[in-house]
Parts: sequence; structure tokens; C-alpha cells
Amino acid sequence: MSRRRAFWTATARLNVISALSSSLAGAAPIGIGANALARTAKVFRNKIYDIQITGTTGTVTGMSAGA
Amino acid sequence: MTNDFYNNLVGDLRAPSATSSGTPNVIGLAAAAVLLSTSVVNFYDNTAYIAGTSSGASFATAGVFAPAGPVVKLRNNIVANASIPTGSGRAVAVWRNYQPLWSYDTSSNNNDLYASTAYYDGVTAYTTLSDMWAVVSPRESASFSENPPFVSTVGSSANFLHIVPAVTTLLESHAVNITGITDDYDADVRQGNPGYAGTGTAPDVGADEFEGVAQGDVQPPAIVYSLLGAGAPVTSRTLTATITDATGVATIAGVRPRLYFKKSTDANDDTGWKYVEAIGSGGSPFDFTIDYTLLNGGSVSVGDTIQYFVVAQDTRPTPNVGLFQGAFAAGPTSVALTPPAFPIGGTINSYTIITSISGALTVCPSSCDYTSLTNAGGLFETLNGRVFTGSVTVDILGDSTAETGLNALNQWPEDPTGNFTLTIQPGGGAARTVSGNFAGG
Repeated sequence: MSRRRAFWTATARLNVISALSSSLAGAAPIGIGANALARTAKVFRNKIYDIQITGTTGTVTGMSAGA
Repeated sequence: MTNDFYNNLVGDLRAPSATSSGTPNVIGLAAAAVLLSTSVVNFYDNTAYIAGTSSGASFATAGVFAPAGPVVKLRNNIVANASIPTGSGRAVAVWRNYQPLWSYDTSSNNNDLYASTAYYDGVTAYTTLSDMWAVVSPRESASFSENPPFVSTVGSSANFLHIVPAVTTLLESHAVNITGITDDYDADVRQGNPGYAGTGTAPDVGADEFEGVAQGDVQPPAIVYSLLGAGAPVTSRTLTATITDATGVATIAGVRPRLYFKKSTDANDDTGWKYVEAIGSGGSPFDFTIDYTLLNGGSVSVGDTIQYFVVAQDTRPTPNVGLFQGAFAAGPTSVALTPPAFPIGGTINSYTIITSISGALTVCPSSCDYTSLTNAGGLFETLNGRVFTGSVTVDILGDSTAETGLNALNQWPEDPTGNFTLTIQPGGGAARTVSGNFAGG
């Protein structure tokens, strides 16, 4: 039997995220997402831009908690 | 679990061909539904900017998107959604997709919420901050709506989503210090922390601590009250409103908050609308007595519809004047409304005057007030169409063995609100049988 282990602390800082593009139907690109397994997440001083979907369905998200 | 997102710059997100299936196509900051209700997501001092549109038939966007799940706290953020929705889509500042407010932290405040729709709970869209305040209070009471003066919205620019220096803006000194956050995106020290060299009086809203010029309060007072239900054909009724303002609510006679009211059949101008000033001389909450003798005709009758709104001004030298609920034809400078303020547009709250009931009633097969509880013409059907002006006691003076269950008893309106009771009891000193068959399941 295996168990999923939670991360205690996750940190994302000083990142520059850009130039993400998807043409897939239903695409859901996220600039920075804090995984739901992280007990504590600190996301600060990041820069996110130029993210797009070109399909007719889907969602672009800059930052997401619980991605 | 706690997620802290702070001092981030988010912008230039695009979905130029997307069509919404009921949720946003573009989101600046999201708190995903997979998180448990015990989780906390803190968005502090971020700048999120959305623009553009889509060729899709229904394009929707959200500066912040938070469905049911974690508790979300919004403080000191710029949430600017300048996108252009299409079809049934919306451009929303805060889109929660969940009506209960427990997961919208009560300390959420000091945000710049700029969008064509301030708030959407998944069912109802609230266009303005005033509309939003009415449902989320006490949240966001010091938040405001301003198109941020960005230096650049080009992602590759070093000044991306930074604020034009020396500009007069509500962003300047309109935030509050958050424990543990002492600087900004650029590591510039925030006001109130060691090493700060600027002239601000409080931290700035958003991810950029800048040296701007603080703009005074431009927001009208926030007005919140419970909507009035059906009223009785009496001479007056009361309403209590909570009214708050960053500068202060004017409370002296002549400029105290007023409640305007009229019959729906009266003209929507200064000849139709009458007003009463808040009772007493104190501050919020403010009590009003709607005096029907002031109406054209001097009284109300069963079948009349009474429209009403509350207006208040702040204590600025040039007052900001707000109302709930409705929209001025032209912005007034005082609660003493003059003809240019009319006609009042938008949604105007109203209630209907219906027959009142109180006291003792009887039910029995004959010679009583009613012959049944649930049948057509019975007690419940009657009570469902009445406003309680006092408690009601019903004596069952005979067996009622042919109940059809056609009418259930609804929650009754009260005028005045008195937490009145309805007592149904056997009368005449004998036990009574109430029975029947109901085929409705």
C-alpha cells in the first residue's frame, strides 16, 4: 500500500512566466499553481504574462491555489 | 493548509477565440474548488490585469475566481478587469460561483476592484461596488473601483503593471500593512516598515509601492439594509440601515441619511418622491420611520406598491452621495435631492400593501371564521395572503376530518417586525381531530 505524502512547504518566488500558448480544445494553462498537496505555499514576487489559449474552449489562469 | 500569494504581477492573459460554458475563460487569481473548506488562500498586495476580448459567442473573465472550497481573503490587491465580454459572458472583478459568504473572509478589504461587473456569486451579478456592498458587507467596505494608471501593460517591460509616479490615485496609501510583508514586487520597502523613504501615509494598493499623490475619498457611503416585505395598511413602518464610509457619514440634521419613498403610481420626480430623515442624531445604524401621511393622498391602501431607497452623504467638503437601491439621473451634491437627480433609474426596492391580520380566529365545520386549515378558502390560504400585525391564536372548535392538504402554511410577513407567533390549539375544552388525505406525496 502506498500513501500520498503532502509537501510541508512550497515556495515560488522571483519567477518570470511567459509565452505559454495552447491550441488544444479545453486547454487550461496556469502561470503558477500551488498544488493542493502543499500544506503551506508561499508565492510571491512573480511576474506572469503572455499566456493564451487559441481554441474555442478552455481557461487561462494567471495564478491558482490548489491547481 | 494555507496558501499565501503576494506581491505578484499578473497580466496579458488571452483567450481570443474562447466561448464560456458558464465559467470564466480568463482568470487572474484563482482558488480552486479542490481545496478543502478548511484551507485558507490569502491574496495580498497583488496586481492582476485582464484586457482584450474574444470572437467567441460568450466570453467571460474574472479578476478573482473562487468557487466553493477554501476560505479566500483578499487584501490590498489591484483586480483590474478591463476585458470586453461577449454574449451572456461577464467581465467580473470577484467571481465566487457560490452564494454563502463563510468562505469569503470578512477581513477582505482595501482592494481596487475595477470591472464592468464588480461581483458575481454564480447566480446574481452586482454591477457596482454599492450593489456588491449590499450583499458582502462588512467585506470590502474600504475597497474602491479605479482604472489603475499603469506605466505599461506590456509584459516584457520592466515597468509592467507598475503605477505612474506622482499621479493622483486612490491606490496611493490606501492599503494596510500585512504582517510579514515589508516590501513590494521590486523589494521596495512598503510604508510603515523600517527603511521606508517615501511620503505615503499607508502602504499602496497592489504589487508596486510607488510615490504617488493620495486622492481623497471619492466613494459614497455604503448603505445596507434588509429589504422590506409586504406591509400593512397603517400609517407608517420602520426600516433600519447600516451606513458606513471611509471618511464618515454626515449625521447632522439637514444632511443626515434620508429615506425616499412614493407610491409606484406617483411620478418619478421631486413631486412624487417624499422623504424622511433618519431618527435621532446618532450614527449607524440609522432608523427611519416611513410616514405614509407624507405621500400624495396622505395614506396607503391595500394593493398599493410602495417604492423606496435610502440616500446618504459623507463628510467630505464636496460630499460623495450614495443611494441604495437605484441610480441617480444626475449625481447630486447632497441628500436633499433636487429635480436633476430624478428620475431614479435601475432597480428600485418596493413592497406591496396587503390586508393585515392578528388576534383570535376559529376553525370548525360551521359558524367559525374558517371551515378547514388546508382546504381552499381555509385558514392557511388566508394567512398566506396576510401581513401579521400581531400574534395570531387559532382555536379549533370542532373536528376537521376532510383536510385536503391543498395549502401549506408559508412564512408570513410582519409589519412591524415583531417576531409574532401563530398558535393553533384545540378550543372549547375538548380534544379535536384534524385529519384528511393528501395525494401529493
